[in-house]
Amino acid sequence: MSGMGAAADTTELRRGVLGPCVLALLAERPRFGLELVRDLSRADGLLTSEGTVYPLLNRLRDAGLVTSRWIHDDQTRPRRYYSITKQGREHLVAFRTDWSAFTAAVNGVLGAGPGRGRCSGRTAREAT
Amino acid sequence: MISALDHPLVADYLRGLDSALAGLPPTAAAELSEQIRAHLLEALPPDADEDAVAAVLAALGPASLVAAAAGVPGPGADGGQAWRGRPLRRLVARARRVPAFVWLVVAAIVVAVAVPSGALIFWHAQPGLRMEYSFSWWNGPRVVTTYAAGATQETQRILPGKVQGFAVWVYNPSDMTQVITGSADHVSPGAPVTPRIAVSTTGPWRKMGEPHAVRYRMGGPIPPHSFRWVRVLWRSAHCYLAAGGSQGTSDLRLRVRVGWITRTEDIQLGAEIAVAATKASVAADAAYCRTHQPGS
Repeated sequence: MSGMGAAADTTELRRGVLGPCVLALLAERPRFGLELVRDLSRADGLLTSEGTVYPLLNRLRDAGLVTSRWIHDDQTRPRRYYSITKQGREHLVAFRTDWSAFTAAVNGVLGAGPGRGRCSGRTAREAT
Repeated sequence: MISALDHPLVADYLRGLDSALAGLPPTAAAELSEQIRAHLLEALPPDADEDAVAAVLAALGPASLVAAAAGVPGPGADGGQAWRGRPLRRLVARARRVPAFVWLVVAAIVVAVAVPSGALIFWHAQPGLRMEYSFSWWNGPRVVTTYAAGATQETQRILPGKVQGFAVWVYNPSDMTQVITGSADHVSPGAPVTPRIAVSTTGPWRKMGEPHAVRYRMGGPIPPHSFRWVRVLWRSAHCYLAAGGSQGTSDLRLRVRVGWITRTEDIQLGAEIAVAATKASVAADAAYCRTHQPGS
Protein backbone atom coordinates (compact mmCIF):
# COMPACT_ATOMS: atom_id res chain seq x y z
CA MET A 1 0.00 0.00 0.00
CA SER A 2 1.32 3.44 -0.91
CA GLY A 3 1.70 6.24 1.59
CA MET A 4 -1.19 8.11 -0.03
CA GLY A 5 -3.38 5.05 0.36
CA ALA A 6 -2.52 4.75 4.03
CA ALA A 7 -3.37 8.42 4.57
CA ALA A 8 -6.73 7.93 2.89
CA ASP A 9 -7.42 4.89 5.07
CA THR A 10 -6.57 6.91 8.17
CA THR A 11 -8.85 9.72 7.06
CA GLU A 12 -11.73 7.30 6.57
CA LEU A 13 -11.07 5.67 9.91
CA ARG A 14 -10.91 9.06 11.63
CA ARG A 15 -14.14 10.11 9.99
CA GLY A 16 -15.81 6.93 11.16
CA VAL A 17 -14.85 7.29 14.83
CA LEU A 18 -15.30 11.02 15.19
CA GLY A 19 -19.04 10.75 15.79
CA PRO A 20 -18.73 8.29 18.67
CA CYS A 21 -15.95 10.43 20.10
CA VAL A 22 -18.23 13.47 20.08
CA LEU A 23 -20.90 11.38 21.80
CA ALA A 24 -18.37 10.25 24.36
CA LEU A 25 -17.41 13.82 25.21
CA LEU A 26 -21.00 14.94 25.43
CA ALA A 27 -21.75 11.94 27.63
CA GLU A 28 -19.42 13.50 30.21
CA ARG A 29 -21.22 16.85 30.17
CA PRO A 30 -22.85 19.26 27.74
CA ARG A 31 -20.36 21.38 25.84
CA PHE A 32 -20.59 24.42 23.59
CA GLY A 33 -19.10 24.34 20.12
CA LEU A 34 -15.60 25.69 20.64
CA GLU A 35 -15.22 23.78 23.88
CA LEU A 36 -16.11 20.53 22.18
CA VAL A 37 -13.81 21.25 19.26
CA ARG A 38 -10.87 21.99 21.53
CA ASP A 39 -11.41 18.84 23.55
CA LEU A 40 -11.47 16.80 20.38
CA SER A 41 -8.34 18.56 19.16
CA ARG A 42 -6.47 17.41 22.24
CA ALA A 43 -6.78 13.85 21.00
CA ASP A 44 -3.81 13.96 18.70
CA GLY A 45 -4.60 13.25 15.06
CA LEU A 46 -8.32 12.82 15.58
CA LEU A 47 -9.38 16.17 14.21
CA THR A 48 -7.75 17.69 11.15
CA SER A 49 -10.30 20.44 10.45
CA GLU A 50 -12.21 21.92 13.36
CA GLY A 51 -14.91 23.25 11.06
CA THR A 52 -16.04 19.74 10.15
CA VAL A 53 -17.22 19.11 13.72
CA TYR A 54 -20.27 21.34 13.24
CA PRO A 55 -21.72 19.45 10.26
CA LEU A 56 -21.12 16.27 12.27
CA LEU A 57 -22.99 17.72 15.25
CA ASN A 58 -25.88 18.62 13.01
CA ARG A 59 -26.01 15.10 11.58
CA LEU A 60 -25.97 13.63 15.08
CA ARG A 61 -28.75 16.02 16.04
CA ASP A 62 -30.78 15.01 12.97
CA ALA A 63 -30.27 11.37 13.95
CA GLY A 64 -31.64 12.08 17.42
CA LEU A 65 -28.34 11.30 19.17
CA VAL A 66 -27.58 14.88 20.19
CA THR A 67 -29.67 17.85 21.16
CA SER A 68 -28.75 21.49 21.57
CA ARG A 69 -30.02 24.54 23.38
CA TRP A 70 -28.95 28.14 23.78
CA ILE A 71 -27.81 29.28 27.20
CA HIS A 72 -27.63 32.98 28.04
CA ASP A 73 -25.87 34.35 31.07
CA ASP A 74 -24.47 37.70 32.09
CA GLN A 75 -20.83 36.66 31.98
CA THR A 76 -20.45 35.31 28.47
CA ARG A 77 -22.02 35.66 25.08
CA PRO A 78 -25.01 33.38 24.35
CA ARG A 79 -23.73 29.89 23.74
CA ARG A 80 -25.25 26.88 22.10
CA TYR A 81 -24.69 23.84 24.28
CA TYR A 82 -24.83 20.35 22.86
CA SER A 83 -26.02 17.39 24.94
CA ILE A 84 -26.25 13.69 24.31
CA THR A 85 -29.70 12.14 24.23
CA LYS A 86 -30.85 8.82 25.65
CA GLN A 87 -30.70 7.39 22.17
CA GLY A 88 -27.18 8.80 21.85
CA ARG A 89 -26.06 7.05 25.02
CA GLU A 90 -27.44 3.75 23.75
CA HIS A 91 -25.65 4.30 20.49
CA LEU A 92 -22.40 5.04 22.33
CA VAL A 93 -22.65 1.91 24.47
CA ALA A 94 -23.22 -0.19 21.38
CA PHE A 95 -20.28 1.45 19.61
CA ARG A 96 -17.94 0.84 22.53
CA THR A 97 -18.78 -2.83 22.48
CA ASP A 98 -18.24 -3.07 18.76
CA TRP A 99 -15.10 -0.94 18.91
CA SER A 100 -13.45 -3.11 21.54
CA ALA A 101 -14.07 -6.23 19.52
CA PHE A 102 -13.01 -4.49 16.34
CA THR A 103 -9.73 -3.07 17.65
CA ALA A 104 -8.88 -6.37 19.30
CA ALA A 105 -9.41 -8.14 16.01
CA VAL A 106 -7.42 -5.59 14.03
CA ASN A 107 -4.60 -5.55 16.54
CA GLY A 108 -4.52 -9.30 16.45
CA VAL A 109 -4.10 -9.26 12.71
CA LEU A 110 -1.55 -6.46 12.79
CA GLY A 111 0.41 -8.18 15.54
CA ALA A 112 0.38 -5.14 17.79
CA GLY A 113 -1.37 -6.86 20.61
CA PRO A 114 -4.43 -5.60 22.40
CA GLY A 115 -4.67 -1.82 22.41
CA ARG A 116 -6.97 1.01 23.20
CA GLY A 117 -8.59 3.32 20.74
CA ARG A 118 -8.14 7.01 21.10
CA CYS A 119 -11.70 7.48 22.22
CA SER A 120 -11.38 4.96 25.02
CA GLY A 121 -8.93 7.16 26.90
CA ARG A 122 -9.47 10.42 28.65
CA THR A 123 -12.10 11.74 26.35
CA ALA A 124 -14.27 8.65 26.27
CA ARG A 125 -15.31 8.37 29.87
CA GLU A 126 -18.97 8.51 30.38
CA ALA A 127 -20.29 10.75 33.07
CA THR A 128 -22.93 8.25 34.11
CA MET B 1 -13.21 46.96 14.75
CA ILE B 2 -16.53 45.76 16.23
CA SER B 3 -15.85 42.01 16.45
CA ALA B 4 -13.56 39.34 15.15
CA LEU B 5 -16.01 38.75 12.32
CA ASP B 6 -15.07 42.15 10.93
CA HIS B 7 -11.44 41.20 10.46
CA PRO B 8 -10.71 41.16 6.73
CA LEU B 9 -9.40 37.59 6.80
CA VAL B 10 -12.44 36.39 8.72
CA ALA B 11 -14.86 38.31 6.51
CA ASP B 12 -13.21 36.81 3.45
CA TYR B 13 -13.43 33.33 4.93
CA LEU B 14 -17.11 33.76 5.77
CA ARG B 15 -17.91 34.97 2.27
CA GLY B 16 -16.27 31.87 0.89
CA LEU B 17 -18.13 29.73 3.39
CA ASP B 18 -21.53 31.18 2.49
CA SER B 19 -20.76 30.61 -1.15
CA ALA B 20 -19.63 27.05 -0.50
CA LEU B 21 -22.79 26.32 1.49
CA ALA B 22 -25.02 27.39 -1.39
CA GLY B 23 -25.60 23.74 -2.20
CA LEU B 24 -27.29 23.08 1.15
CA PRO B 25 -30.94 23.62 2.01
CA PRO B 26 -31.34 27.19 3.31
CA THR B 27 -31.99 26.27 6.92
CA ALA B 28 -29.03 23.88 7.06
CA ALA B 29 -26.72 26.44 5.45
CA ALA B 30 -27.88 29.17 7.82
CA GLU B 31 -27.39 26.95 10.86
CA LEU B 32 -23.88 25.90 9.88
CA SER B 33 -22.93 29.45 9.04
CA GLU B 34 -24.16 30.54 12.46
CA GLN B 35 -22.16 27.77 14.16
CA ILE B 36 -18.95 28.77 12.42
CA ARG B 37 -19.51 32.42 13.25
CA ALA B 38 -20.09 31.54 16.91
CA HIS B 39 -16.91 29.46 16.86
CA LEU B 40 -14.91 32.40 15.50
CA LEU B 41 -16.39 34.82 18.02
CA GLU B 42 -15.43 32.46 20.83
CA ALA B 43 -11.99 31.71 19.46
CA LEU B 44 -10.92 35.24 18.56
CA PRO B 45 -10.90 38.38 20.66
CA PRO B 46 -12.02 41.52 18.83
CA ASP B 47 -8.45 42.79 18.68
CA ALA B 48 -6.89 39.54 17.48
CA ASP B 49 -3.81 40.08 15.37
CA GLU B 50 -3.38 38.71 11.89
CA ASP B 51 -1.35 35.68 12.97
CA ALA B 52 -3.95 34.64 15.53
CA VAL B 53 -6.74 35.02 12.99
CA ALA B 54 -4.82 33.05 10.39
CA ALA B 55 -4.14 30.26 12.90
CA VAL B 56 -7.81 29.95 13.91
CA LEU B 57 -8.94 29.93 10.30
CA ALA B 58 -6.33 27.33 9.40
CA ALA B 59 -7.54 25.13 12.24
CA LEU B 60 -11.11 25.47 11.05
CA GLY B 61 -10.10 24.17 7.66
CA PRO B 62 -11.03 25.40 4.18
CA ALA B 63 -14.60 26.53 3.72
CA SER B 64 -15.02 24.02 0.94
CA LEU B 65 -14.01 21.22 3.32
CA VAL B 66 -16.57 22.36 5.90
CA ALA B 67 -19.20 22.46 3.17
CA ALA B 68 -18.19 19.02 1.97
CA ALA B 69 -18.50 17.66 5.51
CA ALA B 70 -22.02 19.07 5.54
CA GLY B 71 -22.89 17.10 2.45
CA VAL B 72 -22.20 19.63 -0.27
CA PRO B 73 -20.29 18.03 -3.13
CA GLY B 74 -16.89 19.62 -2.99
CA PRO B 75 -13.17 19.11 -3.35
CA GLY B 76 -12.46 15.50 -2.67
CA ALA B 77 -10.59 12.74 -4.37
CA ASP B 78 -11.20 14.38 -7.72
CA GLY B 79 -9.69 17.66 -6.62
CA GLY B 80 -13.01 19.37 -6.94
CA GLN B 81 -13.29 18.87 -10.68
CA ALA B 82 -16.74 17.35 -10.47
CA TRP B 83 -17.96 20.19 -8.27
CA ARG B 84 -16.63 22.87 -10.55
CA GLY B 85 -18.27 21.12 -13.48
CA ARG B 86 -21.76 21.46 -12.06
CA PRO B 87 -22.71 25.12 -12.45
CA LEU B 88 -26.33 24.17 -13.07
CA ARG B 89 -26.47 22.27 -9.81
CA ARG B 90 -25.01 25.23 -7.96
CA LEU B 91 -27.50 27.51 -9.65
CA VAL B 92 -30.38 25.28 -8.63
CA ALA B 93 -29.02 25.11 -5.11
CA ARG B 94 -28.84 28.89 -4.91
CA ALA B 95 -32.32 29.19 -6.34
CA ARG B 96 -33.59 26.95 -3.57
CA ARG B 97 -32.36 29.47 -1.04
CA VAL B 98 -34.65 32.14 -2.40
CA PRO B 99 -37.85 32.29 -0.30
CA ALA B 100 -40.96 30.85 -1.91
CA PHE B 101 -42.84 34.16 -1.82
CA VAL B 102 -40.10 35.76 -3.92
CA TRP B 103 -40.59 33.08 -6.54
CA LEU B 104 -44.32 33.65 -6.37
CA VAL B 105 -43.82 37.37 -6.98
CA VAL B 106 -41.42 36.65 -9.84
CA ALA B 107 -43.86 34.14 -11.31
CA ALA B 108 -46.70 36.64 -11.05
CA ILE B 109 -44.62 39.31 -12.80
CA VAL B 110 -43.62 36.87 -15.52
CA VAL B 111 -47.22 35.83 -16.05
CA ALA B 112 -48.43 39.43 -15.98
CA VAL B 113 -45.85 40.54 -18.54
CA ALA B 114 -45.05 37.51 -20.65
CA VAL B 115 -48.54 36.18 -21.28
CA PRO B 116 -50.03 39.45 -22.59
CA SER B 117 -46.83 40.18 -24.52
CA GLY B 118 -46.84 36.73 -26.06
CA ALA B 119 -50.51 37.05 -26.95
CA LEU B 120 -49.95 40.46 -28.55
CA ILE B 121 -47.02 39.17 -30.57
CA PHE B 122 -49.02 36.10 -31.62
CA TRP B 123 -52.03 38.18 -32.68
CA HIS B 124 -49.93 40.71 -34.58
CA ALA B 125 -48.08 37.89 -36.32
CA GLN B 126 -51.27 36.45 -37.78
CA PRO B 127 -51.42 37.00 -41.57
CA GLY B 128 -54.09 39.37 -42.82
CA LEU B 129 -57.20 38.66 -44.85
CA ARG B 130 -56.92 38.48 -48.62
CA MET B 131 -59.24 38.43 -51.56
CA GLU B 132 -59.55 35.15 -53.39
CA TYR B 133 -61.06 34.18 -56.70
CA SER B 134 -64.33 36.01 -56.95
CA PHE B 135 -65.73 39.52 -57.26
CA SER B 136 -69.31 40.52 -57.92
CA TRP B 137 -71.13 43.80 -58.15
CA TRP B 138 -73.96 43.88 -55.69
CA ASN B 139 -76.55 45.34 -58.03
CA GLY B 140 -76.96 47.85 -60.75
CA PRO B 141 -76.54 48.24 -64.42
CA ARG B 142 -74.15 46.74 -66.92
CA VAL B 143 -70.53 46.46 -65.98
CA VAL B 144 -67.70 47.42 -68.25
CA THR B 145 -64.37 45.71 -67.85
CA THR B 146 -61.37 47.44 -69.32
CA TYR B 147 -57.70 46.51 -69.43
CA ALA B 148 -55.03 49.15 -69.76
CA ALA B 149 -51.33 49.16 -68.98
CA GLY B 150 -51.66 45.77 -67.29
CA ALA B 151 -54.41 46.95 -64.98
CA THR B 152 -58.04 45.94 -64.91
CA GLN B 153 -60.91 48.25 -64.17
CA GLU B 154 -64.43 47.10 -63.39
CA THR B 155 -66.71 50.02 -63.99
CA GLN B 156 -70.38 50.44 -63.27
CA ARG B 157 -72.55 53.46 -63.92
CA ILE B 158 -73.19 55.51 -60.84
CA LEU B 159 -76.73 55.48 -59.51
CA PRO B 160 -77.14 58.54 -57.32
CA GLY B 161 -79.37 57.91 -54.33
CA LYS B 162 -79.21 54.17 -54.84
CA VAL B 163 -77.36 51.54 -52.85
CA GLN B 164 -74.44 50.24 -54.83
CA GLY B 165 -71.53 48.05 -53.93
CA PHE B 166 -69.83 44.78 -54.48
CA ALA B 167 -68.99 41.52 -52.78
CA VAL B 168 -65.69 39.67 -52.80
CA TRP B 169 -64.47 36.34 -51.53
CA VAL B 170 -62.16 36.90 -48.63
CA TYR B 171 -59.95 34.20 -47.21
CA ASN B 172 -58.64 34.14 -43.64
CA PRO B 173 -55.24 32.40 -43.84
CA SER B 174 -54.51 32.79 -40.12
CA ASP B 175 -54.98 30.46 -37.18
CA MET B 176 -57.40 32.84 -35.47
CA THR B 177 -60.87 34.06 -36.19
CA GLN B 178 -60.76 37.56 -37.65
CA VAL B 179 -63.73 39.84 -37.14
CA ILE B 180 -64.31 42.64 -39.64
CA THR B 181 -65.62 45.49 -37.53
CA GLY B 182 -65.92 48.06 -40.32
CA SER B 183 -64.19 50.07 -42.96
CA ALA B 184 -60.99 51.97 -42.38
CA ASP B 185 -61.84 54.25 -45.31
CA HIS B 186 -64.20 57.15 -45.09
CA VAL B 187 -64.85 57.37 -48.81
CA SER B 188 -66.67 54.90 -51.03
CA PRO B 189 -66.23 54.64 -54.79
CA GLY B 190 -69.64 56.16 -55.30
CA ALA B 191 -69.98 58.54 -52.38
CA PRO B 192 -68.00 60.52 -49.80
CA VAL B 193 -69.26 58.25 -47.04
CA THR B 194 -67.84 55.31 -45.14
CA PRO B 195 -68.93 52.07 -46.81
CA ARG B 196 -70.87 49.53 -44.79
CA ILE B 197 -69.12 46.20 -44.49
CA ALA B 198 -70.88 42.91 -43.82
CA VAL B 199 -69.66 39.33 -43.79
CA SER B 200 -71.61 36.30 -44.93
CA THR B 201 -72.58 33.91 -42.20
CA THR B 202 -71.69 30.92 -44.35
CA GLY B 203 -69.01 30.05 -46.85
CA PRO B 204 -69.27 31.40 -50.40
CA TRP B 205 -69.91 27.95 -51.91
CA ARG B 206 -73.43 27.88 -50.50
CA LYS B 207 -76.21 28.71 -52.95
CA MET B 208 -74.02 28.09 -55.96
CA GLY B 209 -71.72 30.95 -55.07
CA GLU B 210 -74.46 33.51 -55.45
CA PRO B 211 -73.62 36.42 -53.11
CA HIS B 212 -77.23 37.54 -52.78
CA ALA B 213 -78.40 34.11 -51.64
CA VAL B 214 -76.49 34.06 -48.37
CA ARG B 215 -77.05 36.01 -45.17
CA TYR B 216 -74.77 38.78 -43.97
CA ARG B 217 -73.88 40.17 -40.63
CA MET B 218 -72.24 43.46 -39.75
CA GLY B 219 -69.09 42.85 -37.70
CA GLY B 220 -69.09 39.28 -38.85
CA PRO B 221 -66.30 36.83 -38.14
CA ILE B 222 -64.25 34.85 -40.61
CA PRO B 223 -63.08 31.60 -38.99
CA PRO B 224 -59.48 30.44 -39.41
CA HIS B 225 -58.64 29.12 -42.89
CA SER B 226 -62.12 29.88 -44.15
CA PHE B 227 -63.75 31.83 -46.98
CA ARG B 228 -66.57 34.31 -46.63
CA TRP B 229 -68.32 36.79 -48.86
CA VAL B 230 -67.51 40.33 -47.75
CA ARG B 231 -70.11 42.79 -48.91
CA VAL B 232 -69.26 46.47 -49.40
CA LEU B 233 -72.21 48.82 -49.81
CA TRP B 234 -72.72 52.52 -50.00
CA ARG B 235 -75.47 54.85 -51.14
CA SER B 236 -74.08 56.62 -54.17
CA ALA B 237 -74.23 60.36 -53.99
CA HIS B 238 -71.44 61.80 -56.02
CA CYS B 239 -72.15 65.41 -56.61
CA TYR B 240 -68.97 66.48 -58.37
CA LEU B 241 -68.28 63.68 -60.84
CA ALA B 242 -68.23 65.14 -64.31
CA ALA B 243 -69.74 63.25 -67.22
CA GLY B 244 -67.24 60.66 -68.44
CA GLY B 245 -65.34 60.73 -65.18
CA SER B 246 -64.97 57.81 -62.79
CA GLN B 247 -63.89 57.13 -59.27
CA GLY B 248 -62.97 53.89 -57.61
CA THR B 249 -60.60 51.94 -55.46
CA SER B 250 -58.20 49.06 -55.93
CA ASP B 251 -58.04 48.02 -52.32
CA LEU B 252 -60.31 47.52 -49.38
CA ARG B 253 -59.09 48.88 -46.10
CA LEU B 254 -60.79 47.17 -43.19
CA ARG B 255 -60.70 47.36 -39.43
CA VAL B 256 -60.21 43.81 -38.25
CA ARG B 257 -60.20 42.42 -34.72
CA VAL B 258 -57.74 39.60 -34.03
CA GLY B 259 -57.87 38.35 -30.47
CA TRP B 260 -57.98 41.49 -28.36
CA ILE B 261 -56.34 43.76 -30.87
CA THR B 262 -57.93 45.65 -33.74
CA ARG B 263 -55.80 46.46 -36.73
CA THR B 264 -56.20 47.85 -40.22
CA GLU B 265 -55.85 45.32 -43.02
CA ASP B 266 -55.50 46.28 -46.66
CA ILE B 267 -57.07 43.78 -49.02
CA GLN B 268 -55.95 44.15 -52.61
CA LEU B 269 -58.89 43.74 -54.96
CA GLY B 270 -56.84 42.88 -58.03
CA ALA B 271 -58.72 45.45 -60.09
CA GLU B 272 -59.92 49.01 -59.89
CA ILE B 273 -63.54 48.95 -58.75
CA ALA B 274 -65.03 52.15 -60.05
CA VAL B 275 -68.24 53.95 -60.78
CA ALA B 276 -68.50 56.29 -63.72
CA ALA B 277 -70.71 59.20 -64.51
CA THR B 278 -72.64 59.81 -67.66
CA LYS B 279 -74.52 62.89 -68.73
CA ALA B 280 -77.72 61.33 -67.42
CA SER B 281 -76.20 60.28 -64.12
CA VAL B 282 -74.63 63.70 -63.62
CA ALA B 283 -78.01 65.33 -64.10
CA ALA B 284 -79.60 62.90 -61.70
CA ASP B 285 -76.71 63.33 -59.29
CA ALA B 286 -77.11 67.09 -59.29
CA ALA B 287 -80.77 66.74 -58.53
CA TYR B 288 -80.01 64.30 -55.71
CA CYS B 289 -77.41 66.62 -54.25
CA ARG B 290 -79.75 69.57 -54.32
CA THR B 291 -82.29 67.46 -52.45
CA HIS B 292 -80.12 65.79 -49.87
CA GLN B 293 -77.19 68.16 -49.46
CA PRO B 294 -78.61 71.67 -49.63
CA GLY B 295 -75.34 73.27 -48.69
CA SER B 296 -73.40 71.78 -51.55
